[in-house]
Amino acid sequence: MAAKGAQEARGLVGPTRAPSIMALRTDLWRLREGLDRLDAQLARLAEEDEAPAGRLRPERYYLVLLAVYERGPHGASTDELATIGAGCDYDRRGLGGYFAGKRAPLRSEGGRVRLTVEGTRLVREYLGRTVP
Amino acid sequence: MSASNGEFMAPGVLVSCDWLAANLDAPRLVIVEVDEQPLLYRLGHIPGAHGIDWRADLQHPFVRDIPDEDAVGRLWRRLGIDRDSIVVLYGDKNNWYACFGFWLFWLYGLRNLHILDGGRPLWVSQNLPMTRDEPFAVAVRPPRPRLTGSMRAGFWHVLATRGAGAQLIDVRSPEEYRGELLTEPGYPEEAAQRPGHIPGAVNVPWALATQLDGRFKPAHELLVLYGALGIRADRPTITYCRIGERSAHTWFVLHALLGFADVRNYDGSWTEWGSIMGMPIELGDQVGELSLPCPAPAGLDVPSGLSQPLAAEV
Repeated sequence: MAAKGAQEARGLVGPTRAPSIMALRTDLWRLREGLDRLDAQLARLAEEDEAPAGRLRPERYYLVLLAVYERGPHGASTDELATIGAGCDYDRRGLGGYFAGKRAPLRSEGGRVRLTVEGTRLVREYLGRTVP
Repeated sequence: MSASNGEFMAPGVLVSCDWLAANLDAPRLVIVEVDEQPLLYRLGHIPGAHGIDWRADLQHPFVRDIPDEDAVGRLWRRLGIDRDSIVVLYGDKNNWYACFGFWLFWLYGLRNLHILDGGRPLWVSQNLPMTRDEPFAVAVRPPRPRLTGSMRAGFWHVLATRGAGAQLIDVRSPEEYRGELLTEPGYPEEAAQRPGHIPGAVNVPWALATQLDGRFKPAHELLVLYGALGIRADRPTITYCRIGERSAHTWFVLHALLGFADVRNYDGSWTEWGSIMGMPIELGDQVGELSLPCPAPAGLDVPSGLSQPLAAEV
């Protein structure tokens, strides 16, 4: 009993008034995961249900895809994608929409991010529309 | 000019981004960008580079064939290529189409040819200089293109040389090789009538020859890669893919980097083989064996005076 009391006093076991750092990190991780899931669902809904096919997206959306195309057939690493995204004012979570839905323009495989057929089509469409 | 890997049998055929960046103003240098997406060139390109359109400039305008000597001569004139030019080709897709251009120019007798190791992807990712300015055409007298057939294969070469021990390399994806896909997703216009591979062909996807940044793997790694699959430098070799551009990449590796003596690019590739009536096809992972002569398609009589067109003796 005395040992347990000492452990509780150090915050190692048993009920404590404040949650442990580990518990807080776990909760935070779950919240982030939930946010990612919500982001992805929102993007999928926007893509499949609300937006008509062929709608124009903001230019930065296409610039991310173009930058991934420019990396070549091996694609980009997830860190490189984060850098590409940051250059276009997307944070890591904001990039989740690129992977969501039946017509997702990006796919992740073995740690590399590559364009899907839809992504390649969007790049071609963007080039055709913007290149003089 | 130094090779970027420094250990190839034909040193100098590859140039590095650093070398090119330091020599952009070198006299006699002609830089040529060849992309799958030709509009990329107008979005930005290496300063001084000319852009060519693979479909318009490296194909015959009507017939499914490479351009003829006159068209290639006009193209070289437009690019400012003369007898003394040092030509560096590069492009998107890890140089698929740049290697096709290299192969075509080589076929027409140009020899001072080089590939930018890593191509456009590596140049862009290293934030090296880009411009939208297109170079002025310089009046030159280009060398006369003279076609040499020794680097190109038709389906009849496959039939004729397979029996003589030629090795066939299918550089498409394993899914295409096994016949699970008729064509790679995104290229519906490049589908053949039937999926599968040429009996006897070994599957070595083109991408295995490159690193993640698009540069070619060092020679010793490439030799291990092909050697492990029984590909030998002293045997006649034919590469093929779907329309001949990825197989030009592997042709470049075997011919220009590893010094294979007899390598041909079968540019008719699977879109031709997989669409010809009666051609033997293998499905699945097994390499298979091309039995010759091939039987004539059912119900087709060979007119008297003509030999069976799919026979080994063609």
